[in-house]
Amino acid sequence: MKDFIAPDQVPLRPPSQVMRLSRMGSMFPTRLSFLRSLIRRLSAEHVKVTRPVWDMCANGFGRAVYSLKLGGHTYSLVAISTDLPPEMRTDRVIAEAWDSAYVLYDGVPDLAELDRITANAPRQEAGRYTERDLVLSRANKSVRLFAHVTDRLRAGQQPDADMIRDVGYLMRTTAVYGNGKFGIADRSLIKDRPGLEGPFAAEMLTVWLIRTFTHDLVEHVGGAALDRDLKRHLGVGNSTGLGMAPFLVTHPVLLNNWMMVRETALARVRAIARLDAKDQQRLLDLADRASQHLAQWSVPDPVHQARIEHLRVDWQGVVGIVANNLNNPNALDEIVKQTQDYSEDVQELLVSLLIEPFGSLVDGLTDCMGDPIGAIPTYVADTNALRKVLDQHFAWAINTDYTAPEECQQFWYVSEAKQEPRLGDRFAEAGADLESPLDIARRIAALYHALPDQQQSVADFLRTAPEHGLAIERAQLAARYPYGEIQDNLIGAGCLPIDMLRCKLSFFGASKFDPKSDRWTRITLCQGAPLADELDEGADDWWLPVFGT
Amino acid sequence: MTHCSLNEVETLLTKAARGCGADAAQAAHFGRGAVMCLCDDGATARIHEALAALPNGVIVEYAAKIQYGMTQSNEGTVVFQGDAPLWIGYLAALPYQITWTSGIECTVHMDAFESADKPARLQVDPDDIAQWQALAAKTFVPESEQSRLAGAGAGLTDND
Repeated sequence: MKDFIAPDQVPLRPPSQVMRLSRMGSMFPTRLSFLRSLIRRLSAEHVKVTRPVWDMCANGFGRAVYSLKLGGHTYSLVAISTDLPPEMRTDRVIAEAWDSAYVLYDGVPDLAELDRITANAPRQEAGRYTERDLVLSRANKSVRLFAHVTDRLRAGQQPDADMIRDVGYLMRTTAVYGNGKFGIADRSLIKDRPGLEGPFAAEMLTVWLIRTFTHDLVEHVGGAALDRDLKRHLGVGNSTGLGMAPFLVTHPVLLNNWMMVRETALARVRAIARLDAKDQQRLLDLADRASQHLAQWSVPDPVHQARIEHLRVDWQGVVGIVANNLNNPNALDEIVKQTQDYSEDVQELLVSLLIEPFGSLVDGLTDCMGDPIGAIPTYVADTNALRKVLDQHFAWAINTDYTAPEECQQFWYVSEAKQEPRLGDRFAEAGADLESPLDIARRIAALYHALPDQQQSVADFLRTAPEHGLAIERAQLAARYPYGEIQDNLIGAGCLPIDMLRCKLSFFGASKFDPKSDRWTRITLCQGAPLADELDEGADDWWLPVFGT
Repeated sequence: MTHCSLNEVETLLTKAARGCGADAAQAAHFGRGAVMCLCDDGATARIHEALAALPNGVIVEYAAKIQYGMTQSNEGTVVFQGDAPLWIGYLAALPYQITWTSGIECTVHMDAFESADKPARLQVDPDDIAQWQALAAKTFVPESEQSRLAGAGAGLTDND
């Protein structure tokens, strides 16, 4: 067995810097993102995608099956396209019908299984599923672009390139369910399978196959082939709301592992003593690509658009700093230091850039992004020791006055109607008595102030004050999982859930964030990613895709 | 019987415990332990009893027992005793290698992390599910016009 020698690294950026909402809400996809990892894996295995079923009417309604073999297992995407009246088309979770529905199936479905899925998948949450169904999803058309593309193809023309660039997808998913929801397979059933070990790997495979289906569907309805470059720029849109935000709070181990890997990757590249000419050129090319990507990223929301425009301007300054330092010793570390006064948007885009050229140094870290075992607490015996843990790891939480209106303005809850997370105004809406336990900072402070002066075993304290159980649990996770907590008050007036969404979505590999409010965003996944028949050709070079190159 | 994924039963039982007043962490412990218990023999009576006993009873006590026991490590191992099926479920749900040395005593190896083997499915009586759903529903907030419009933050039309 060869000894493993960990690469050099500089000290990690501390959680107090990294785990702030505003910084998390400035993150960009990296080569560590789950979609990138998946595509590398598909490429390494020279995966071939077949389409054993295409049973679609001329208008594009019917069903299809796509199959591939990954890590010794065969998986199939079952896609069902239905004729949806426009008035029923909504991306909100209250919807009850969609343009298309999908199941990622374990194996290749026979006719009976295909019929079962066809009967259930269009009903989504109202259907019932089996352990052969690994992922459940649905998507709505971008009606404007889908109709434009089919019209142009029917007329023997290619679609308008500007429209392809500006919209970027033919369909957008509104939910991608995994891990046992509605009876589909538990994550534990596939967590050890080669290629699906990583977080959300099955979900990302589903999204990539959905993209293939949308391309095939538009070509089928249009009766002609879409230009390959245009097609590559068409990813899968996604509408993501509050339902995704609590995940980062309720999965501290995963959050820690994702952030720790990203920070370790940055620390490794910052420790590179000298860049060779090839790496220098690559960084300059990628910095230029980032500029082009930013130029092509426009959103309707004026606040976010202004932020993008600031970033475009500031980025040019960063490109200059990069260029001026590349030939110096410890160039990347120096570049990071010289850009500390720029905005968090700039700093986090720079992190993403600096990691990108160094796959051999960082890609192996993605093996550490899962949580195969579960949380391993560092148990604390007595209340004095517990107080020390809180002092050491939660100073950011314990000194806030959570009775002040601005520190408790919002409350998280689960709606009775859709059983989905929501955010309410504590002083204007009913329901705060049923608040969801996402108020970690407030709970930590309450625990801190409730600890007895007289030392007591934590177990006895827990018996008399069970309401502090969650805070005690989080305290006991802090030592092993330092990046496991968002170090902000998630019920304060200033908490913007969109920051949590962007952090998580950037780990998925999302780009072109298009916030529709402070709690809902559209994004694009798989834009620029290799098509199903391109997995052998430069399958890993699609960071921040640029249209027209 | 309803064929369920383990995660949906665990999630439901966790919510049910919260609906009965359990702290979130203790509810999550209960969800994991109860599923392990169900995997063993499928009996639900003791799960209903545990939920009915809240805010007291085994859901509070087992969390404290685990907390105490795990701080009594001797050279990386902890010995637990007890033969109540739900308690055994709690122990089986711990992320450590566990060796049963007798019917009522087990050793937890704190340096060996391991998740227990579980079946692919659980079969649960729909009446049990309905009772747990009713308890879980106690944590849900009824919809109002304001929450419908603003709670999720989305617009009302998404056609483009």
